[in-house]
Amino acid sequence: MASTPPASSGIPIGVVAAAVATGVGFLPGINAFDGPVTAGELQALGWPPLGVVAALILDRDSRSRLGWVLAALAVLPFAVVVVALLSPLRGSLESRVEDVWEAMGVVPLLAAVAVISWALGLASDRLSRRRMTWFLGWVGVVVAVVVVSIQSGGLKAAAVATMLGLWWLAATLALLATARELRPVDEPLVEAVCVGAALVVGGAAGVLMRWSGQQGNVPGPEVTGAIVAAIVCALVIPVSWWARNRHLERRYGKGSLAPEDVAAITADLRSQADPRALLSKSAAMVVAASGHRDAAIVLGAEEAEQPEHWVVYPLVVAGERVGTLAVDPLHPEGPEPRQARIVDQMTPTLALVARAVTLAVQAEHSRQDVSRERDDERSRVLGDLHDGIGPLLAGLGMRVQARARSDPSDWLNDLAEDLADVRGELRRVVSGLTPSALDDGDLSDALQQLVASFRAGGANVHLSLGLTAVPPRHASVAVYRFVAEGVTNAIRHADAKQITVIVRDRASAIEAEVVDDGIGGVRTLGVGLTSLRRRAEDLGGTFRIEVAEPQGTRLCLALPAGEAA
Amino acid sequence: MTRVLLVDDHPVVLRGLASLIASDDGLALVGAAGSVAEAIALDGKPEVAVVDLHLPDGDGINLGIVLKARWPELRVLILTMNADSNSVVRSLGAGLDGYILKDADPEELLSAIHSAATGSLVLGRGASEAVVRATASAPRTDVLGVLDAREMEILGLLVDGLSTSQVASRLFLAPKTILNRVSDIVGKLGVDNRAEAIALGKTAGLGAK
Repeated sequence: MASTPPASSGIPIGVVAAAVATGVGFLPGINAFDGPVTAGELQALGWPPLGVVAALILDRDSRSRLGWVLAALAVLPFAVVVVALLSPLRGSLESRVEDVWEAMGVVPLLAAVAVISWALGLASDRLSRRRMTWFLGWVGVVVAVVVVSIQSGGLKAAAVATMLGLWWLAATLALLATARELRPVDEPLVEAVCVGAALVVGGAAGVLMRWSGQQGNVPGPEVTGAIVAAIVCALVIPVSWWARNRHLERRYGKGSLAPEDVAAITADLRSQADPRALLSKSAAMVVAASGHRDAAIVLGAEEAEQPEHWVVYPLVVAGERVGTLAVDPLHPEGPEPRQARIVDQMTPTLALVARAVTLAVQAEHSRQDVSRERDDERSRVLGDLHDGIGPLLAGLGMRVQARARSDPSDWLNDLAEDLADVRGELRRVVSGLTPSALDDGDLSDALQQLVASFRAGGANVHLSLGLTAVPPRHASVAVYRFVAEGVTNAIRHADAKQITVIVRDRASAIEAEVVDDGIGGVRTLGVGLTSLRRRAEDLGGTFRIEVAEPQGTRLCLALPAGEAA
Repeated sequence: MTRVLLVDDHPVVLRGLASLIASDDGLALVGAAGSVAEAIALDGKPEVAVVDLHLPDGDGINLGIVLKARWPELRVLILTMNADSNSVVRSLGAGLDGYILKDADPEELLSAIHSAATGSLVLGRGASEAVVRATASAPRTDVLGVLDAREMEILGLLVDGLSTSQVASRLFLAPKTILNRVSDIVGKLGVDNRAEAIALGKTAGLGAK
């Protein structure tokens, strides 16, 4: 019934039929506008509005059972007239119609309720259950009013009650048939009880005041009582409304994000390095605001498989699906309309969060990729340098040495020594800056090898290794370069006698120190150390230069051990 | 006079070595070749052959084996730019007589040739370190170089023992996405299945946070 109307072709038969039925149904009641109104005419005027509702429903779905049933019911007054004409009753037509209506009593109303209930149908879904509950609820009220008016007010009062009741039912049916979602029937009851309770309490206070005023001979006890009643009522209504809100909150969640919820959810966000933590926080906010049992956010354009009763909301930014929000509703048939509205309000923001997190994760991955490519490229370039320039220098050195042997001269000896220095420098540059030493072994091996090569050069270097696990490759490279640069620096610029290298891993970090006993003082960072600092920061670590005791310099590097890239 | 054969594809190195040998009265150059083919074509019954590890048409170690088969008395020294442990172990295992770095001091080169001629095993400075290192076998992280950071992250979590759905929820991705990426990882690493990829990642030092 709430479905979209099918594309109409030609004359909408259902609507025309309903309109005709409405018109025909009105015919017997038209008399009421001329002269005294009879009970029969009032009864007759109650039914045609059902035809209007029928037209509304048949316009949406021309095959709706409810629509045709209502159209048929709209013709009932005309049928009564026909029955009166054919009946063996005596008297004028008007009085005969009157007699028929009187004979039937509430039977037409009850029959109509039965037929409409059948037409409404009771499917197992939440919407049709609620539709039926609402309808029968109002039917109960209308029938009760009609019965009471028959008992107390006689024919005419019963006719008025029936007419108004039928109009009310028609209006209700129009709403029920077109609504996409219906509130649970107890919600308005709770509201009515809340308001009623306030009125009762206020009224009781007023009566009490009036009584005590009368006892104490206070002038105008009615006025005092009324004022007190109004004041008490005004005071109680907010309280009862607060109770009603608590009831709804328990059922549907808060409907908004309270500052204390946000504070509790985001308390540890600062310490989370992974941007994806934002997603679980956002899901927790959805749960807090909407009262769903659980919620989850998944990144990516594909829809993840969710448990059957979970409800899925696509997260879309600028036409691009960036993720999915899935909620686990308390009600087995899905979120209540109120909850759906809250989630709908949140999804645009969640989509932006998902997009931002996706971008942040991509950026982090790209950073790691670029960082690694940069290392690889540097290794390659330095490797090429070594393999290309190295043999040239070696060959030149051999020839100069050969000449120096056969034809010794100071000049040639100097040249040979310089060439040896150049070869040594090339070796140092290449072995110090490429992680090639790491390609064949782990960090401990590479460091021992590195320190050995410094010792071979005459430096007094002490190495203290405390690595319990193999560090991630990029941390290994950074530590290796740090030691190579640090020791070179100490030898070259600090005039150090003794250099100590300490490398160890802690629970969450790898620490490396290069301590010398050299001239110390504030040193400007060379290119090597500057790039080390940048590198350390890239990896989320720190790099410090301190003054060592009693003299010298201490270089400290700390890298997070979790960087497994 | 020790008769020396030189094989190196780098003309500057070859010229340098030749003049170095010419400058030593105890050594005589009987042949110089720039490739395996040229070396095999040479004749002159050398006593010591100094062979470059990397030759344009082959491998210095194999050439050394061929030359030794031809002249059983021949001593073969491998000459290289890199102290690469695998090659050191391989050349010694092949029964060759030593290993020396090209950029060693020229005098060191000459004395290496002399000691090889007397029959002793020669290990250059860089090379002896390589032998030490080769005994401590170390894992290589390089094999994972084909993976990008995104795949490395997933493999790291799998190495940590997480299941597909746990990885998916940790990374806020659909399990299907994880399965696709895992099959990418398996393909890129050239292994047969997920378990082998995880084993490879573990060997390479991934995970273990």
